[in-house]
Amino acid sequence: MRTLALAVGAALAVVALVAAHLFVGRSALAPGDVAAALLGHAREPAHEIIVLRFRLPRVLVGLAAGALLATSGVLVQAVVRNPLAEPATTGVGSGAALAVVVSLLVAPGHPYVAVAALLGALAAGGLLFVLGRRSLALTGILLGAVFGSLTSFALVLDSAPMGTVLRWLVGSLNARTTGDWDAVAPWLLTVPLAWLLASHMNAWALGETTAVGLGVRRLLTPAAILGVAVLAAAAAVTAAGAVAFVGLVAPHAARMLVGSDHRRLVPAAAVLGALLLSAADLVAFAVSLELPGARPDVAGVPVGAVTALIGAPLLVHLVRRSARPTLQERG
Amino acid sequence: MTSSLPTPLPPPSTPPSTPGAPVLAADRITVGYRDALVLEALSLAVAAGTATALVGPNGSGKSTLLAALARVLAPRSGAVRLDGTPLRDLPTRAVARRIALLPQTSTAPPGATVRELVEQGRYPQRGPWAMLRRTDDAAMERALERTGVAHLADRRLATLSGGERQRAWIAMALAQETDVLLLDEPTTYLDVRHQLDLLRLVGRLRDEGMTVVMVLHDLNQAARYADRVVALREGRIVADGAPEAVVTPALLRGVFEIDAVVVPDPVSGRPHFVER
Ligand SMILES: Nc1ncnc2c1ncn2[C@@H]1O[C@H](COP(=O)(O)OP(=O)(O)O)[C@@H](O)[C@H]1O
Ligand SMILES: [Mg+2]
Repeated sequence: MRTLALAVGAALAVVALVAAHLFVGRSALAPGDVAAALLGHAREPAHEIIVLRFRLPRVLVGLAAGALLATSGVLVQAVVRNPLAEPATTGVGSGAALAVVVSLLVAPGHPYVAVAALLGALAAGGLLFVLGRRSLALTGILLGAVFGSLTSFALVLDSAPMGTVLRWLVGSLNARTTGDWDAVAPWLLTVPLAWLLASHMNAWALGETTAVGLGVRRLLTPAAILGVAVLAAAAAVTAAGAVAFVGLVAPHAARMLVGSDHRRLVPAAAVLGALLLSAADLVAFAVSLELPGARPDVAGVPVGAVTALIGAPLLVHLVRRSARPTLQERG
Repeated sequence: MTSSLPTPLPPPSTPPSTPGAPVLAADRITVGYRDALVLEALSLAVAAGTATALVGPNGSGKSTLLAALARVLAPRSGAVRLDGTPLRDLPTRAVARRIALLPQTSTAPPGATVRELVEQGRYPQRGPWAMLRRTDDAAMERALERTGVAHLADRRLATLSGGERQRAWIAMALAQETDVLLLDEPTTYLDVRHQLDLLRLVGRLRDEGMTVVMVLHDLNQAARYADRVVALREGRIVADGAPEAVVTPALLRGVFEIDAVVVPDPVSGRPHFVER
């Protein structure tokens, strides 16, 4: 019953968000024009371009990246058994940004920025696998710091890629295209993949000794969880940049709604992450509309700035709460 | 990922080991952690359908031995055998269907309920794919009943007392419905009545054919409720046998550094020590 209510509520929220994204914009299209463009018989060619090529990809990429970040967050938190971990804990986002900068320094203005981001993210994930045997979280944070300082270093030497790389560093959904949607859509498969790992994550949550006692594979299971986490984070970062806090906040909110059982947590967090990122993007877009002279569809306020504004106080709150024990000792 | 395993399950009603034969045996195992060896060439054979108490001072290697018997720690040399087969040659989930371990410390995620915890005990039997469906089965209900936490099933662990939480963890181990049960300090956090309830439950499980090895700190409880007492000190077995043979003034002095007299317990006739 409660599950049904939550599902219906989530579906309504998604519909409302998509509608808001499609109807709100710089060009004041009548609702009828938007609907006509969506249904394939736009009254003017410009309507079709605005609705189908600008507004629709932006909201779809936002929903997808949000779901991927939240899924990655749940997985990373599961593998290190710490609800304060998040996709950034893997260093994947910083790896993507570094790769973007390096590629733009080597070949200025090349069109394969997203490919560079994806390769950088995956390479960072691979490095984490090789180096993170002992302490995964520490290694990931260190990798992130190293990639971050290398990025700054490269930008000090040559600031030409600054504008482009900012999008990856802060995270932005401005000027998403249908190509971006096509690139991110297949990666949504990592969400059901994460759900398939739910029972392993539930067992792993009981601590290594108990989990291995139950028959969980000591190396393979965390590697599989982390592997899917890295793929989801890499795809999200490629599509939207290293958006902060969604991967932390969405799993936390999902846990409050459905509890810590990963069979419910994975889908709940994915939906909440999609809603959160897309709603934050709507805020970013609306703020941009108010800024004189800014073209919100191209430049504008990056969504990552909005999520950071929401997320930072929440993180402080979570850290303060976790001063009290969040993990239940057996006795 | 734990894949489906080819080994067929023995039917749970018939214990796979004949009573009296060693079901679980450590054969000259050397076990340690990164920096130190804890057990060196230790051997211990546990007969099927018996209850064994492991006793010894803090740090004597009891938990290490239990973890090795449950193949959570791999011996550096020697082997732990289950019905004669080295554990390392058996698929990990097949071992978990035969041996349940309650570790000394474990953690549960914040917000988890008793039922969700106990359900994890079904992981080795049901397998990770079937575990994707939320179901209560008879084994879970039995485990909740036997540990007296059925009425707490939907409570969050965080809201329970230490003893209630401890019983929920024991229910998790029982839900595995294995024929070997390894309990590391199962009576800690329990009040006296629940300690006795638990030890009586162990006795019933033993009578039903289960093999139990438990770490106990209370020597009198060990003597009264176990068929065999094994005393460890500094990673070595220093006494092993029936309670009468192990709980003696000499052992109490040598292993625990207590000066005590041992009298027969007026109810059970088992040895009972009183400090001098
Ligand atoms: N995870 C570990 N890493 C390193 N040393 C350990 C670890 N666990 C236990 N030890 C050491 O192994 C020895 C035996 O510990 P343990 O088996 O826990 O003893 P007991 O359960 O009898 O109190 C102790 O000296 C302890 O310090
Ligand atoms: Mg111990």
